[in-house]
Amino acid sequence: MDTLIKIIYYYNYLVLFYFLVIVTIYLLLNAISFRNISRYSRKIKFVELKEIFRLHNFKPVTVVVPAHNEEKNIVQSVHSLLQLEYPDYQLIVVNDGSTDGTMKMLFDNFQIRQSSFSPYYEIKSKRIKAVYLSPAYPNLVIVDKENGGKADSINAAINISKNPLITVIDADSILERDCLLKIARPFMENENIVAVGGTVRIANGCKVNQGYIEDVGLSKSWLARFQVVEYLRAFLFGRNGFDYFNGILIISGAFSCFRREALVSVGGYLTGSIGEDMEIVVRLHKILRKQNKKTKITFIPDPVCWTEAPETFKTLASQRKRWQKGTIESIRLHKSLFFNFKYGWLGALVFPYYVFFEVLGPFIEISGYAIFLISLFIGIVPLNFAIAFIAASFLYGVVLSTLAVCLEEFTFKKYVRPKELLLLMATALLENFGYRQLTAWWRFEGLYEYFIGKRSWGKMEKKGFQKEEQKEFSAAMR
Amino acid sequence: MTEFLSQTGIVISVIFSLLTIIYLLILFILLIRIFEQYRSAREKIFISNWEKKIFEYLNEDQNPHELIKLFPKSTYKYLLNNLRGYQLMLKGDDKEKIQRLINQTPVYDYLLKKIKSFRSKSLIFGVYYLGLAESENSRFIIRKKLKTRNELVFLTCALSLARMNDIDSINSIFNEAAKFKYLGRDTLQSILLEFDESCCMHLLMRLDNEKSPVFKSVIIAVLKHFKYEQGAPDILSFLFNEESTLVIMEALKFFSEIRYPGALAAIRFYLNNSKPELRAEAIKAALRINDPSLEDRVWSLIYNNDRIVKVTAAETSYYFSDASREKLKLLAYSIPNTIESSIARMIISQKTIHLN
Repeated sequence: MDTLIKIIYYYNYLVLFYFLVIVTIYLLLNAISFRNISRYSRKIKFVELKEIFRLHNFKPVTVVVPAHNEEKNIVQSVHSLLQLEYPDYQLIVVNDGSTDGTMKMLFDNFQIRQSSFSPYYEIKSKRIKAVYLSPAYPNLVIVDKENGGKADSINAAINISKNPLITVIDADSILERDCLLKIARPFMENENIVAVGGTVRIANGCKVNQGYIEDVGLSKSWLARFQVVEYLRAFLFGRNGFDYFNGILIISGAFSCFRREALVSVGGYLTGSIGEDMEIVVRLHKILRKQNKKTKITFIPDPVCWTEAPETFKTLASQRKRWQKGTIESIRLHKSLFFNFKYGWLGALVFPYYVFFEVLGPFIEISGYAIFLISLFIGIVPLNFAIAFIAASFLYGVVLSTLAVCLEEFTFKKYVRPKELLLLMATALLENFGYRQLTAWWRFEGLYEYFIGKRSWGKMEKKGFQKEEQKEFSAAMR
Repeated sequence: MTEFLSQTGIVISVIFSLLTIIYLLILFILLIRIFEQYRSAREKIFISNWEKKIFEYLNEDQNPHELIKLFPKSTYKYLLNNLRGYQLMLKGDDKEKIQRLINQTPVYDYLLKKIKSFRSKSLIFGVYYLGLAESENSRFIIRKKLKTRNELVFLTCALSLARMNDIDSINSIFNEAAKFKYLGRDTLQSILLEFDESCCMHLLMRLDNEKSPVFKSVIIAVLKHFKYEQGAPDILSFLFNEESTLVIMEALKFFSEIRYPGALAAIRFYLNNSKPELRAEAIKAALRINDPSLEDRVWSLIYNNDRIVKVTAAETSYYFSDASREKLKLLAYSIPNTIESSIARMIISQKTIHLN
């Protein structure tokens, strides 16, 4: 019994230590991000993005849209993607063995015709059945292939595309019209950049018109609003902070841009992976930084892409478990980076951070709550201290969330109505009471399921945007 | 443990500090919003007054001093922000008139004060707008500011000097650019493209002694942009001894752009190079120069061992001549089905899909 009490006793210290370390790391990331974003804002203030049209040295981009059973959204998505602002881009829609009417919708709406395609697989992918071109839309390419998943579809598109930059998006991503201008800039500024990620925002509550965000708003659902603050924190602070250390390990699959030659040289996306978005980024670091130490993967803080967030607990839980499993998988596959000082800050700081705080974090957090309660019950921790400590940790979370809202207001100011700003601040306060603990629990479940071998994707149900409007749009286009 | 943990006082003071921080952050957010609303309201009022006046100014021969007098100094930043669009868009007399609004009025002193500031934010602001106004008088100060360790300051100064077409600063721009480890060649190229054609002669002089392959390729790219044919013999003279793929690629693009017949030997040489990317670039150049003597060699590269070279050769053959196109069609439907015939089919299908 004494040994057990001792274990509980020291475990409390461990959790306290864990808490202090994470507080320090977050404060550091916050400070760096504030500096980086204000520098970035100053930098882009005088940049006329459309000037790129005048230049002869812009890089042609291929936008890849993997689509599997997307008959409801595909027409509107393609129409809006064909209106992006960029001097030279190609849009490749990959029909990944859809069993619904995705191909029919594309046939009916874009007058596509089959082109003779000479198969040459620089990267392994499932068989490409046919490639279609459209006389009406010269930059549109439709690839019809056997089902192989998102990663496989991207690999197929890389084989077809010859442009130096590849932008990967989800079929339901809503892009800002000038997103390509923004995402392509870092590649022009620094030849060592092999990948760029952009900030993804939550579209729930926004008014979407013809595939574009017409009016930014907040959802009526608290769950969606919590995710708004969560995304602000993750993108404005987390990724920006890690960018300083050239330690970005995740670029959102909803919107990312890569140098094609870099993707080809590492063998493309890993098919059958749970977290292919993270895995490819970690692999790019691992392989390319060995060849060229200056290789950089960076991030632009501009909100360039909007995505629909789950509004039910079931879907959100499934999403978070999948993310957790994806993180563990990528970390496990590239464990040689752990405390590998040859990779600079990435090996020395960022990768260990992911191991201790992203992979093991949910376990320490959940077990910490349990042990803390037990300690309270058996009298190791006095009640007044327990209450004060919990209050401090919750308030610390509030500080972080409010800081994220503060940075948003300081820079991009997407939520223009005062009512929404107040609502956002209220969300930042409330998010820490229940929602964060819940996500920690789902991540813990993800960790558990991964280790017992339950590694399936799970289903993601999405509500879709303004369905009536979408139907009208499709009819009008036809 | 209990002793340590019972130091609840420490935790409570942490709570109070956190509460204070939260309170201050909320206050800060609200202040930012109020300030922003005030600023945007002021700018709106400014624009509503300004737009009418600027059109009057552009249409009539008004004294710039008279116009600027109407605006208090505190609105200069709105003024400059609004003039920016006009300066980027307008040309000729209208542009000059707008520039006079900056260069011949107290706005100039306002910007000059900014560029003398130690704060990089103010410095960048001043340099940017003086560059946009092509303010001759400030070029010497901006040249001095070029020597900095701050990349953003350097880029803004270089851009402004380029906009002023300050040819004498070209060498300094290159020398200073060399100090920045991560400065991309595209960035440098974009800045140099702001100079006018007269920069080509200076760039060519620099090219003769330039060691850095990156800078060499940038210079050739700028010469290509201005189609500076006089530079062709110089580039040709060092091309055969050049080792950098980057430089050779850019040189081939340059010859291709100006359709330089003197480069035939070089193109023929690189059609046989061991590097596929150089062979592919040489094929593209061969198409632009369109010398019949290259036709057979280009056609034969369809059977090359590299796929990129094969595809480029097939694509080039489609355009090279009617005879080549017919050969490609024959190959496309030949038996047996080979990689070459499959590529030929692909090219023909892609090129004709819009005609069917």
